[in-house]
Amino acid sequence: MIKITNLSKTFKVFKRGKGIRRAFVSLFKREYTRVEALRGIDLNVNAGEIVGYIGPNGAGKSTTIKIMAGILHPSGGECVINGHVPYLNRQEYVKDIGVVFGQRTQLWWDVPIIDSFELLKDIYKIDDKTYEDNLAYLTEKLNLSELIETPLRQLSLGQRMRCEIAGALLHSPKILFLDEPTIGLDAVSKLAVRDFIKKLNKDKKVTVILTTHDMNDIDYLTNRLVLIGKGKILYDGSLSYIKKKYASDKYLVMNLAKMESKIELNDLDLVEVSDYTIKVRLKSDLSDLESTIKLVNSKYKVSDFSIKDTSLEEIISSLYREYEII
Amino acid sequence: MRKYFTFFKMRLLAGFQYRSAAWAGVGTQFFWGLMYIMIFMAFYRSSDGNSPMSLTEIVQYFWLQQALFAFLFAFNHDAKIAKSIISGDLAYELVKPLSLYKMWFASIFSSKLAATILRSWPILLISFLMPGTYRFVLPSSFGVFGLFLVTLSFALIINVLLGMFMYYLMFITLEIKSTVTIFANFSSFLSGGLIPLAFMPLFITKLNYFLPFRLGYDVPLRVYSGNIAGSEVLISIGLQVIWIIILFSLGNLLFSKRLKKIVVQGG
Repeated sequence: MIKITNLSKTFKVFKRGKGIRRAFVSLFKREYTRVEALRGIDLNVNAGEIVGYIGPNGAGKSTTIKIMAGILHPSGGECVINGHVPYLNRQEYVKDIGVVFGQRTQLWWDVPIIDSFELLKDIYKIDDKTYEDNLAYLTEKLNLSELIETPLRQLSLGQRMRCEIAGALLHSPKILFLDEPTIGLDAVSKLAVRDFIKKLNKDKKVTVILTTHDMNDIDYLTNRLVLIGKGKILYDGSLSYIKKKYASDKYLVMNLAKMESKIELNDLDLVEVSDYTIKVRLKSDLSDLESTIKLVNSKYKVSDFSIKDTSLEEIISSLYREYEII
Repeated sequence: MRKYFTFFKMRLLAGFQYRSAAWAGVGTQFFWGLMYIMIFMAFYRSSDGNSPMSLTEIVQYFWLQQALFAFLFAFNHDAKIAKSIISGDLAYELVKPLSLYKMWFASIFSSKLAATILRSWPILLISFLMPGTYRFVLPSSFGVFGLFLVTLSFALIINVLLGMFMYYLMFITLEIKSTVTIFANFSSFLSGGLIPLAFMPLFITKLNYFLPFRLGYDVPLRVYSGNIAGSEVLISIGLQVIWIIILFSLGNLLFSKRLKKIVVQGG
C-alpha cells in the first residue's frame, strides 16, 4: 500500500545574526542554513494496517505525513502509495486518501457543518448513495447528529475534531493520515476519537497512519510503532517488545498519613519523595516488597500503598534518551 | 461545474451570517458615493465647463462604483485564503482533488459575486430615489445596458485574476497587510479607483493602454454612463478577452511553480 525508500527532505532556513549591523546586512545579502528534516527514510505499510508514528517535536513526523499526502515535494528518494507518486499526480492521488491535521481546520468557520460536508461532496464528486451511507455511518459512530447543523465556530475542540474526522472520510478514502488527531482534547473526546479509529479500521479496512504524542493512543490502536528521530527511522516494530524491554521496573508508591519534612531511607532506591508520598523502585520479582513496606512503616505511618509499572510515557522518554534524539 | 456553484452557495450563506456587517458596508459605500459626487460637483461649478466627463456621467460613475465595490476592486482580498497561506492551512486545500489555482479562482469569484448581490441593491435603490442631479438613472438604451453587462462580467474575471497575483506575492512575503497595501495602491491608481482615468494626464492614459487594470474597472463604468460608446467599447471587450487569457495562463503557471517550493511548517 505504502512504499517509501530513502526519502529525504531539506529545508532552507533564513538565518540572521543578532544586532543592528547584521540585520542591515541581511537586507541585501541573506544567509541560509540547510535543515535536513528527513535523511533517508524507509517505510512499508500494508493495506489495513494501523501504524503509530512517533518522535519528539521536530523529528520529521509531520514532514513525512505531508510528503505522503502530496503536499510537499521531497528532496530525494521515492514514495509510492496506492500506485501513485503523491506529489507528482496529486489531484488523482488525493481522491483515495483522507487527511486530518489536528492543529488545522478544513471546515468552514461560519457556516453549519453540514454545508461544509455538502461542499466536500461536490469537490470529491461523491455520488448521492455513497454520501448518504457515509454520512449516516459517520454521524452514528462519531455521534454528530446534534452538531452538524451548528456553525463550526460554536463547537468545542473535541466536537470540532469529530467533525473534522468525519469530513476527511466522506469520500471513502482507502488511507487515512492523522496528524496529531488527539492534540488538546479532553479524556472523553480522546477516547471517542480512538474508539472511532479502531472501528473504522475494522469495519472499512482503512489503512491508518497516525502521529501522536499520546502513547495511550498507540497502545489502544495498534501494535506497530515507528519511531523517528533527527530525520531517521530508529525503530520499526512492535510496541510490546519495547514495553518488555524498558518496562521491567516495578514501583511501590506509599502515601503517608502525615506530612514528613525530612525522609531518610538510605537503604532504598528512592525515585520520588514529596511531603506525602514516597516512590521506591523494587526488584522486578517483587521479592523485596514486604521488607520495604515494613521498613518504611517502622519509621513513618503509611496510610496507603500501590504497585505501579513504568508508564508508557516513561518508556518512550527512555527510548528517546537511548537514541539521543532529545 | 457543480462544485463551483456550491462554492458560490457557501459564500452567499457565509455572507448572510453577518447581516450587520453587510448593512454597515452598505452605509459606508453610500456615503462614499455621496461624498465623491459632492466633491466633483463643487469642482465642476468652479471649472470652465471643459471636462472629460459630464456631470451626469460622473454621478452614474460613482454610484455604480460604490454599488459594485466588492466587484470592482481587485485588492479586496479574501481573508480566508490569505490566512490559509500564512498559517499553512492551505495544506488542506492541497489534499483536495482540484487545482489550487482554479479552486481559489472559483472561491474568490463567488465571494465577490455574493458580496455584490447582498450589498449592491440597497445602494442602487436609494440612488434611484435621489433628487435632481444626484439621481442614478437607467442607461440610454438596452444596447448600452447589454454592453455594460458584458464588460462588467469580463471585468470581474479580470479583477479576480489580478487578485491572484496578490496571493502569489503573499506566498513569497508571507505577510498579508503590507502585500495588500502595496497591491491596492498600485492597482487602484492604475484602474481609476482613486480618480476616474478620464481625468488622468495623457501619459498615464497611454501607459494604461498596455495594462489590464482599467479593463477591470474603468471600462464598464464608462460604458454604463455613456462616456465611451461604439467601436471603442468593442475594442475594450476584445482587450478584456485577450487579457483574461494572458492573466490566467501566467497565474496558473506561477502557482504551479510555486507549489513545488512551498514549506508548510509545524503541526
